[in-house]
Amino acid sequence: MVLETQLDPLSVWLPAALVAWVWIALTLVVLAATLGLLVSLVRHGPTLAARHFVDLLVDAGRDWLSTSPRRVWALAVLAIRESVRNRIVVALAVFAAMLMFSGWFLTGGDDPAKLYIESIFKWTAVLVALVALLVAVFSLPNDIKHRTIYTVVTKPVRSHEILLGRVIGFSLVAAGLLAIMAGCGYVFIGRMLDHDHTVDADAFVDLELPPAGGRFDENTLVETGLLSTSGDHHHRFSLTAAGLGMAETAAGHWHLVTKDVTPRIAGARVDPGDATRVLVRFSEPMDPVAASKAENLQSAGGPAVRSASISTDNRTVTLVLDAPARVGDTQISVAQAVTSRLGRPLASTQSVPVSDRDPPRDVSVYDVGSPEDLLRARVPTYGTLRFLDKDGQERSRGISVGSEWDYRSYVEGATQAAGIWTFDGVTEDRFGDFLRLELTVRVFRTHKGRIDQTTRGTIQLRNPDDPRVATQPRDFWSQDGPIAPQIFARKLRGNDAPGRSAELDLFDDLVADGRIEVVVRCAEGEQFFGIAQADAYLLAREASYTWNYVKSTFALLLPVILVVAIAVTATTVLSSPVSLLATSVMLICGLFADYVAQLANNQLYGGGPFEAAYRLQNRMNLMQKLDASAPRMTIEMADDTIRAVMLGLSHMLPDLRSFWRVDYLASGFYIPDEHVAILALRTVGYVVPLVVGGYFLLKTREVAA
Amino acid sequence: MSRKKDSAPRKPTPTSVDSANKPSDVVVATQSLSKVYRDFWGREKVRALKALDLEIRRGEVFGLLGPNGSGKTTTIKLLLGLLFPTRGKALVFGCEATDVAKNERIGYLPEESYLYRFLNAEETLDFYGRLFDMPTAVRRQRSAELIEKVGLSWAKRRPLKEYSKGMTRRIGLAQALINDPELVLLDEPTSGLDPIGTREMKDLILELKDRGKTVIMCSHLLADVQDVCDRIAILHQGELKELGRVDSLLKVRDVTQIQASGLSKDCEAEIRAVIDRHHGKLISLDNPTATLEDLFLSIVRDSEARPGKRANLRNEIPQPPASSP
Repeated sequence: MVLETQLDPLSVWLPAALVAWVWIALTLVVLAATLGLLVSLVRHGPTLAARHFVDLLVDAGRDWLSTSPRRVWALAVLAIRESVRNRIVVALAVFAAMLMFSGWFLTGGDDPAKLYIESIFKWTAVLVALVALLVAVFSLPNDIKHRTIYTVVTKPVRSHEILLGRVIGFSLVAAGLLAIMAGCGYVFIGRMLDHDHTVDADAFVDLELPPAGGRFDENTLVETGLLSTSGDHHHRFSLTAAGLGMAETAAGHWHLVTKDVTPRIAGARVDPGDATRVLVRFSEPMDPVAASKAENLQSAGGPAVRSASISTDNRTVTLVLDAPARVGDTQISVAQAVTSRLGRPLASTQSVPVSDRDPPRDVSVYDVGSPEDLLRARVPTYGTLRFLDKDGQERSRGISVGSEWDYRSYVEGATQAAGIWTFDGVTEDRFGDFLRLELTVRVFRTHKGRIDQTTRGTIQLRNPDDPRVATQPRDFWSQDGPIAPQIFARKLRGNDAPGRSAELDLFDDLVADGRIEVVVRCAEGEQFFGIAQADAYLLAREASYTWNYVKSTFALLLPVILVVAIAVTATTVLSSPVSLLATSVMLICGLFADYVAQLANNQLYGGGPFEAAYRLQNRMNLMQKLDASAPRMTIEMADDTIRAVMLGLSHMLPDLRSFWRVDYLASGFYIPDEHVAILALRTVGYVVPLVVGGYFLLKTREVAA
Repeated sequence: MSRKKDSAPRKPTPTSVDSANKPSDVVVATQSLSKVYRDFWGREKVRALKALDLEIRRGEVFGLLGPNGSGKTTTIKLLLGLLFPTRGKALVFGCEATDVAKNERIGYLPEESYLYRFLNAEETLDFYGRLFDMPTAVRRQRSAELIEKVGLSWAKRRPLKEYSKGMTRRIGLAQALINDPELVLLDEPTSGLDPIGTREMKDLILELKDRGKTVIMCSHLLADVQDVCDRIAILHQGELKELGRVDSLLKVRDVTQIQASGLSKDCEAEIRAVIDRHHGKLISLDNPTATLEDLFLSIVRDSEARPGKRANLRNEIPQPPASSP
């Protein structure tokens, strides 16, 4: 997940945001007051206009001071009842139908959790926003049209209470819908992702074991195999002799696989070519010494065992009898002295009849655990990035390799150039006994090579207060993307002084006041590593996925509240269809707020609308510069004027995309509480002026006209 | 407005109107109040009210009379702040009519009961009670009393969309009284009501008057206005044509009316002779008729007293009260 724009911490964001908000609010107040005065001047003349203006301000002060929570709540409850009457439950039915049929269209992929989470939230967002928009946009105009507003405004109800009640009521309706849909989605995602595998007995490969007496302990991998296919994926797994193992990651998850390693006799089979030979198969590799002793394996009610030998996989013992074995009559019993190679005794069954069929391939009991790492809430700690240039001088940015995308800058290979991240808040409490670094490194190549060839780099941990205390550079290879996660254990080799090697403690030696530096260099000459601040993060202990889900749902509610506030305010002066249109336009612009801001700030090629028209007319491409001529001056002046208006509007446009925190959830990242707080404050920052503006619009409207 | 079995409507009693002429007792005052309706472009469409000057005092029942489109409802809407005056002033309790705070002391029954049809009677009154910031206990008590008063106890849990027009008017009236207002504005209060409902509405208006409330009603049903109003203003095409006390406006000063009972034919002849002797002109001398409203109410009362029987009302129709000579 690439974070191109990171939100500042609340403490940094709030003062700056507050100042900007006050400026914008003051500008709007001045503009609105001027406009209002002008209209009043035209209609009533200067004396009356001034009086009306003052009266309005005095009234407004009195009205806001007389705000009654009881009245607001009454109007909110009325809005809720109205919504329920308007059959908003239909939205739930549509959502339920979507869930029911989604299984047909949503299939697996590399990351099914992401697919399901994003799909569910997109449907939910669209449905809830649509319902909220429709109920909000029809409410006040319907009250005015049916004149029910007469019985409300003739009570001591202030105009802003009418708006606040509706905003709160419809927001609660949206919250209720969202909660139900998100709850169903939570269950749906859990059920869709939950699946079982069994061990595919036909796809076993026993690994070659060390010979008797060779190193063999519980951690030795003894078998590998496949888990059965579930949905559209399966896993390969390997097991240690102790019966512990894991399935490899597929479809974004893995499973724990365990096996009961108590040895069992799988069966005994008479050799079809020589009836005096009986093959006894065990479920586990057996101790070859004990299993090769004829006295430990006896036939009951049949010929005596002359000799015993064990196969190379230590699972099959071949017995040679005095006389041919009789299928069904001859029983092979195994003494307690025969144990598995790990010394575990046999399970209770100690004798089996001789059969003429192959014993089952495996009689072991496996347990395949639930999918792991599907629904996570990883807690990344981001640092601040600075650069060293090729001479080792500090720089705020690295080398630019082109202006197409300004996000990353580059460090040159085999020089002193480096990217240095400083992470804060690195404590044992948050991280445990090790550090896990995840890093994305883009590669810019200056000479031809194989595109899939990796480029070597190094990572070093460093004490920010004493850069001489640093670990030895660790190599990594980048293939122009995320590198393998780097785990740094508690004890690391490094230097505690120039040239003096020492064993360093991660937290005692390398971390100073919770800070640690990570230095990344490119090790290959004429190659460049592209990095940005958000490309590296340390993973702290995971947080709760469920809580993360709740937060992303709440973050989704905030733009819906914004939609409601915009729609309700629009209806104070506009009819339902026009309000619907106006709100929709505002929302669409809000979705492309970034683009609008770039356009307004003249950051895009091709200029403004007049320049674009001129280019079209003259068949000029976007990069071609305009001639220094009279039309150019006129065009630029006209575009500048439009851009100035757009710039003003872009400051007021809600950036709706910034509310979309579902990508965090879907990618398994924790949504910081501060982000949610900032988004909530942004919402309040919009709702307050909307309600205030709506108050004046409704207050100056003749509802009976 | 529960169905009481009392008889003829009580005549308005001249109360404090005459004595209450101190400026502080002026509840509603309009000064050159004018309203012009304009189109989207600001062009004049209709001149609905032209320089209306009125003063309505505490305890009065004031009627606004006039044909359709005469400016009655516009006046009420201006007094409520639903419309803004084009010129002039509308003062209610001494404040501008656009001041929301005045609504604390006002009750308003619109021409049609514009209520939320998905609420039932209890919810409706509870909602409007909340708008007056009334505490829960007060709200409940007041709602119960008003539902009882307007005779809707039996239907208080039914949503208003199932109500008949008369029932809707009743609950509309209840919401107008939820705050025990000092000033009640009634726009066509008897519209949609049956004769019993009409009578009860008129009784209620008089009851409000007895309790010292000020009532402004507008109607084009002249009989209703005559029955309950102390003073009336007659509007036509937005202009005030007549303003004054009902009794003095209606008094025909050069005609004398005598009503008596138990007179013989001889006595009647003697009266004719007396009028001739004094050079008077006899206009009529016959038996008076009751109003249709009185007849209807008597039939209903008789039907309730003797279910299944034909009405026998010969002696039950209330006689018109004797007017003063």
